[in-house]
Amino acid sequence: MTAAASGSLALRLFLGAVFLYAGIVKVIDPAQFLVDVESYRLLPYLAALVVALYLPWLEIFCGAALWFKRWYDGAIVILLGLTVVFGVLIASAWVRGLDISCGCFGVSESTETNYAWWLLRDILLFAGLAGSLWLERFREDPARLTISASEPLESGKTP
Amino acid sequence: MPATLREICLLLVLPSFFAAGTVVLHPGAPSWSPDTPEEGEVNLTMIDAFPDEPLWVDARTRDEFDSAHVPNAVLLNEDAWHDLFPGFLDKWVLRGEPPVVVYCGSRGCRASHQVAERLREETGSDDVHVLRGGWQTWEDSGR
Repeated sequence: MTAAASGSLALRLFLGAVFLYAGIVKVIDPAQFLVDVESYRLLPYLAALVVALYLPWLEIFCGAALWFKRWYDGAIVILLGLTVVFGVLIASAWVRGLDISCGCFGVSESTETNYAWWLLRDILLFAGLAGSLWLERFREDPARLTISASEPLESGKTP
Repeated sequence: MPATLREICLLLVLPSFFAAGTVVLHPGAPSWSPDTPEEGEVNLTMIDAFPDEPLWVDARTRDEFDSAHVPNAVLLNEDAWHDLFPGFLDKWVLRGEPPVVVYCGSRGCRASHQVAERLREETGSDDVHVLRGGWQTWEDSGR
């Protein structure tokens, strides 16, 4: 197994485990996750309830998709979108000065408000997902991501 | 349909069935009504039916407490627990250990649940409740 393949596999399994874990801890205690969703003060009760019931399962399905590498591309696209949304929500709560718990990993994490750490973690997850996608593409077709030595140069340009 | 788009659709649709399963099968699934108390919570109607007048505990910040609070409420939050807990205990014992109702800002805050849990541990009393909806519910009731 090449270094790229090992790195790709390790990253994919790690990210899959992260989202599986994040989803499972929320599914175990949906009422608590609803409190976390409501604490962002962006959604009316019913919308927050739907998010609290649906989002954990979406994370579980996408985490499992990464872990088993089935529907991988779809899962990566959804998770990239989710991390962007999470980042915007955290930043919005930070700007509004809300004293909240992230809710990102259910009751398993500290209830201390730490926006900088939450945002950094979100950015790292986004980078990890983008990196995983890049590594998978690189493995499938290395030539797509490197400039071929035999590729003709455009006229007037020097190497 | 491109494969990725089909995967996205499946991954977005399938969780909704499991979310519905959570509603039906999970014993701790939240209520569809925002006013229905969860475990450990009470609403104002339930409090009115208490045999004794409860001791109100305000789990918000001092600034919020100073701005407005339930009449005769005691300020008690996690940030200043060691300073505030003796005052609460004195009042609670003096009044003959009545039921305790803790509240924070609104339904979305967690402080009241955390304070209630700690009060149950430190007083050994199970008669400690959280007001569903917190201060917002009290204000909306016009009491």
